Amino acid sequence: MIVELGHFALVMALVVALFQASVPLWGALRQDDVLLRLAPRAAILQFILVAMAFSALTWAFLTSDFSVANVFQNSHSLKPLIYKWSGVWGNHEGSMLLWVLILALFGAAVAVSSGHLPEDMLGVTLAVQAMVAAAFIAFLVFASNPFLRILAAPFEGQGLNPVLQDPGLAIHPPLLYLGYVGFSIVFSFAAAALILGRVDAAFARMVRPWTLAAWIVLTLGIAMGSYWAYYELGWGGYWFWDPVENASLMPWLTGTALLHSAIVMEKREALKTWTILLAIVTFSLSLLGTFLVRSGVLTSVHAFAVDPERGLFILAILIAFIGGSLFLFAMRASAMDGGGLFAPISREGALVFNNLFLSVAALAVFIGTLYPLLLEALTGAKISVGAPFFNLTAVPLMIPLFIAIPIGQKLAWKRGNLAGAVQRIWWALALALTLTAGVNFMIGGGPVLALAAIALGLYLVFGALDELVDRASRGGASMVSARLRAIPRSVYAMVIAHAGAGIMVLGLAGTAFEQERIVAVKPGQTITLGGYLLTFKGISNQPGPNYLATAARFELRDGATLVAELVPAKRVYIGRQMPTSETARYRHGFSEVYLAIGEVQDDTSVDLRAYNKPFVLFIWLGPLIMGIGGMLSLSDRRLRVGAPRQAQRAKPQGAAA
Amino acid sequence: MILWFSIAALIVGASLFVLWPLIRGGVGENRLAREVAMYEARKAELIRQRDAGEISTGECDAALAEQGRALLVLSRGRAAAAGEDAGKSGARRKLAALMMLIGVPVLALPIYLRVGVPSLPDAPLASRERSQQPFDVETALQKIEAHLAQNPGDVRGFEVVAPVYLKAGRYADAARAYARVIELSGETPERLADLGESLVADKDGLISAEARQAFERALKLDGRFAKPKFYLALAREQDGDIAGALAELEKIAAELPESPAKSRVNGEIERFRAQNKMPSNPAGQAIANLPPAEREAMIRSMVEGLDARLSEKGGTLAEWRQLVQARLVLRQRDAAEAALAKARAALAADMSAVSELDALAAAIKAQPTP
Repeated sequence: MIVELGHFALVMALVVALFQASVPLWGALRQDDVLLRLAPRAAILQFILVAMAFSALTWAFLTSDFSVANVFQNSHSLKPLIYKWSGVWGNHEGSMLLWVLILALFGAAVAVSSGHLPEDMLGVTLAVQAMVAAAFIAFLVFASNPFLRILAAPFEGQGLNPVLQDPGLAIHPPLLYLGYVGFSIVFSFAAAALILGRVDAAFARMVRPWTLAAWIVLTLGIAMGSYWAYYELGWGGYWFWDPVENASLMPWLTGTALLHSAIVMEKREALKTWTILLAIVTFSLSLLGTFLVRSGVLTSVHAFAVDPERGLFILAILIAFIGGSLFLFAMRASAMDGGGLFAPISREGALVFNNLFLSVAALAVFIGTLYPLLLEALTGAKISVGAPFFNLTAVPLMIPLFIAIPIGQKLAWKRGNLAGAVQRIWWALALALTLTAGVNFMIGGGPVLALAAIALGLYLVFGALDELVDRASRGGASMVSARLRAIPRSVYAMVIAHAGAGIMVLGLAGTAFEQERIVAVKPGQTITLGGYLLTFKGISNQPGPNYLATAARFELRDGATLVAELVPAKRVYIGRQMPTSETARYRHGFSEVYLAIGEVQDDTSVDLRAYNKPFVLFIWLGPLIMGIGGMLSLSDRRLRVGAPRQAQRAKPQGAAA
Repeated sequence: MILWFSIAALIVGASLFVLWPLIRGGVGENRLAREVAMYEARKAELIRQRDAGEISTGECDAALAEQGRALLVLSRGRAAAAGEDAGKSGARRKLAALMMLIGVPVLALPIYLRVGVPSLPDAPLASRERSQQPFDVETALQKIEAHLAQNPGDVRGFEVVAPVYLKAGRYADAARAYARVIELSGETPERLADLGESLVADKDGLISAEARQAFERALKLDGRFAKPKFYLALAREQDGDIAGALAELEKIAAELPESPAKSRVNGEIERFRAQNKMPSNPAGQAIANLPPAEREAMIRSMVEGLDARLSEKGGTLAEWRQLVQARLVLRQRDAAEAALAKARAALAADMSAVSELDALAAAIKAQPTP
């Protein structure tokens, strides 16, 4: 009964979404506020219905109800409880249900928290959100139904995918989806603004928290996926430029651009059309990511062509929403007034610079991801666009962007002074170069590019902190702590986020200095790894709840002292006969010693991959700090108004806002 | 029934929840008031910034002027839009209410009935009666294997899994499981016979020394046990003692009551009778001892050789008949008929031979196609 009630709730959510997509629009058209007031309630109801469906499916997974085909295919009674639970979204249908749940969650969140919004804006936004929801719930019900039943229920499920049995993977997809789908509400706001013809600072104020929230979770989600790949896949890599990763990176790049242009719009009423376009593009890229991951087009273009129902369904949704919104944009964009004017050298100009580079980087990733697919579809030729392409396109685009961040921070709104700004942050650059020279001296030289990256990372961190130094030092030594307290949280947020970017760059630079040993070791053998000695003690078998593990024991010594015992393992899951690799890591500071084993030979010797990775944790610490900066900014509910710098009679001490 | 009550309650509750603003009624808001409030808030923020010393007085004044101009533009737009129709709102709201109250069930129920199975109850694993359900071999095996990997001393587990392996065609695993059962809790005639049977199945019917040993020990424990006797009879056949094997099988069949086992034995007896006189010379024995794949290849090449020789040089009626029957045993019906035709052409002068070949041809036609 629970399963069927959940199924009905899902179908009803589809119909309620249709209601929510039409009635408020009608209300807006006729200026009937009472009809518009139905929208938030419908959005809350829709969330309740989808949550019922999701709970029902979760219940079926937790109780191993194999009369549900999805549970039968993707679960197993022997799975540990947490993986039964995470199995709900570990498969196509369930993950699409989660997608829709998050979509409904954002709709309901806007409905509940946005009492201060104009009723027509709220109603139309929720109507657009419901259109997206209706399309995806229809996809679920008609093409990917998670509630299909088996009349004679089997007694055991088939789903024991060992790679998915990992806590990181249990929370990674929901986090990523929260980010992806979070941009849907920004898209809905943009479409509503276009429909109502009202794009102003109030609009930017409504949109910014949602953009920020989606951006934070997407940042953390991507970082987490990267960290998962690092410790689970056993190669020590953190980013592979594979299409699934790129699918999440593209909306992140444009989302970051959107975040910054929304600031310009809120503070200065400028960049309106551009902000709206970015909102549309960002969610379009989220939809594209969903299509790439969910249609099966990535596994094989040909497999997709053979069984295209699901893929075509999502493709149709994709075309309808992207095409529809761009059409709306084309119709209405010209009607928007230009808003605030600004000189090329100004805070606004710096943010346009940021937007430009982020967007072009997103375009590069877009081409690198889609070109091979397109080529295969048209000619059948399989090519792979790997890291070299992205390292030559997207990565160099980031460098001028990073260089510009501290300078942009120093420019005033409307019209700025580039020379003055550079003059004020020269100390950051000088300190970064000095420290890099010191590092170079200490380690006895390194690759020039890696040293340049270290300098860039340090410059970013110091350049970000300069904002605090500058503000705190304005009133003399006695005023420092009072001044620091007076600085708005949004400024701290900016400083922290930009410093996070610098820390990530430092982590990336560190990869150039890693030490790698790939050897076959025999028991008792000792190898050197960086400054460490690694001794292989032997192999043992360790049975787990549903796998057999072959574990290799290593002792890691720093000189004569034993610092860690590391036990990398290979697991073979019963029933799947699929080996997975469990890495063992020893953290020292922000660096890690990383061990993974390959084949075991003659029951004694083992193929070992050992790395010493200096400052590798910075790669994920950086995004985490960026996320914390985002949260701090989210917590600052003050209005953002930027005062323009006056053209004449500018006072010399006039500082940036 | 509870499902339908729940669905009805859900629809009613949901409709009330969504339509509450219609029930309560109300008037539209004053939109300009919001814009003014927004202007006031921004003005307050700018003044706060000025007082905190973050911006200069001049900058603050310029920003306030900007905000004021923006409000002026907005208020002009709002004034034009205000005061439009409210008269038709009653009909509109009724229609919206109907859409929710009637439209939702009318759309949702047929869709649900198409995709859902309302009559099917939940089936959480813990609450299910195992015996009444069809048995899913593959997944059950996985489960037992996982259990046995950790409890290699569980006799019952191996006893359960062994026949399942045998049915699933995993003969080597079945033999291992039976051997483990014997190792753990001793020999019984049944276990020994089952072990032997698995070993035979694993070797595609060939009775190895190991299997023979198992059958012999089983027979020692229970002299009247038919299964080991049966396999030992087949072993005699494979040793070349066809007559002895046949006599043994007939004796077993006579002792057995009507059962699937008896028809199996009878089937073997029929095969014996139909399937020629087995080669009794040492060469034939050597062939019989080969692994099955090699044995068949060997027989095929011998038959091909015979065919080539007869086609080229001709032969006696007996040789031709041997060829035809060999083709039939190899299930090469077309080749058998071709051989018949060639035999007829070769022996056309011999009337009695032709009539014998005709009889053989009729017998072949009467046989069902394999």
